[in-house]
Amino acid sequence: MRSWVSQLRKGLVELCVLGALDDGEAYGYEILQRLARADNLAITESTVYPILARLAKEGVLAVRVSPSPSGPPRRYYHLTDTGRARLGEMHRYWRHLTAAVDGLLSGEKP
Amino acid sequence: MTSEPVNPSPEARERMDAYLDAIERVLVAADMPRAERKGIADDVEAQILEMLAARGCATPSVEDVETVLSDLDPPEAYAEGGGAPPGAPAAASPAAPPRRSARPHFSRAAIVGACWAPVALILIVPLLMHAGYRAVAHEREKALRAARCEARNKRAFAQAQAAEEERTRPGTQPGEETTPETPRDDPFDGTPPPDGTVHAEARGSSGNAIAIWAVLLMVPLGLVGLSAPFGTTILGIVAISHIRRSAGRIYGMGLALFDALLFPLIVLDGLMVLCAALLGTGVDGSLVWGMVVGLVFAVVADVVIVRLLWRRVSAPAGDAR
Repeated sequence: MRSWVSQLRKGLVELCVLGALDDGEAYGYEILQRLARADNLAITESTVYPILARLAKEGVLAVRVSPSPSGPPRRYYHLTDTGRARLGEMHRYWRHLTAAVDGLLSGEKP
Repeated sequence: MTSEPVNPSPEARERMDAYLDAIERVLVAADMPRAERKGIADDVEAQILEMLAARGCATPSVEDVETVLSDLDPPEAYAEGGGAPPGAPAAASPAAPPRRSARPHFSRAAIVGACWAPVALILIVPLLMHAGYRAVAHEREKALRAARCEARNKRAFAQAQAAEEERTRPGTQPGEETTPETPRDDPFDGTPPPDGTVHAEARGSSGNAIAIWAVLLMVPLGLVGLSAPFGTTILGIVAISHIRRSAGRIYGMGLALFDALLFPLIVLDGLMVLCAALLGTGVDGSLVWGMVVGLVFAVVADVVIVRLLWRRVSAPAGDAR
């Protein structure tokens, strides 16, 4: 069960990260705190930060560096046009997927 | 969330850097490009400082940093991070690896090496005292011998003079002259020394008055002390290797480097000062100035060597990009 849950979370991390940034730009720790508000996600920094780096490299996210009061400059991530398009696509697929799975579990056709 | 600027202590900063370096090593091993590694390291560092600020730590200590790091993922977790690229199959490992229960600890090899080093000093001091005692006793014996010889020579001369005077005195018959005492070189013929002191030590003992118990104590201590230069250096090298491979679980690189370099640098400094002293004596006969110059060069060499090696051991392992 734990392995399945982990695999499921792993597959959803990118969607969750993009969804967290849909509310507006945020730096890394802030993104973690937004994700932490969602129950049962338990996505930690070792998963999120590499994804942020990869998405930034792919052009899905853009990075803005801004001074921080507590130390080194913060890296603020925000969705690019490519990122918004990907988020929309992933969100549509997620709605279809959840509807299909719910229908399967309830014995109804979607 | 507080906006107080955070200024970690040097030790706390070193601990943070060790954790960040461990993450860097994991990402290097995963063939992640440097730009991405830097972004991740900056994000992690910013999170650590913000968590410290949230605790109200304006000047966090090592303990504060340890507490924050205990709430973060271990550096090895970053090997599985990053998610799967679009279209790639999901990996079999969990997305959220369990938190480590074992806290990072100071290198034990470095501690043992640092404790071993002073034993060499404990050995050297008694050896130097014993050598000094023997030297003083030897010189004293030489002085006593010389004094006795001189006294005996004076006595013999006085006797010879008295015999000559008696011989040349009118009325002295041949054969009545007394034979003057021949000066002897052996001071140990039972004749008391001129100052009346009694040389109580037997011939050949040479001032060896160390008690048997002291000798028995010095044998094992001597073995430990003589091996300290090698043991400390080896333990320092081992500790450096452990720390670099521990991915943040072991820290204490400063002490490990100190152990590894202490005795080699002492030997190097000694050779430099000796060479400079010999050169100084040969050039203008000034031993002191030669030693001073040698000492200056030794200090400069030590600083350069330590800085170079510190940069080398502090760099993430495998960072060739």
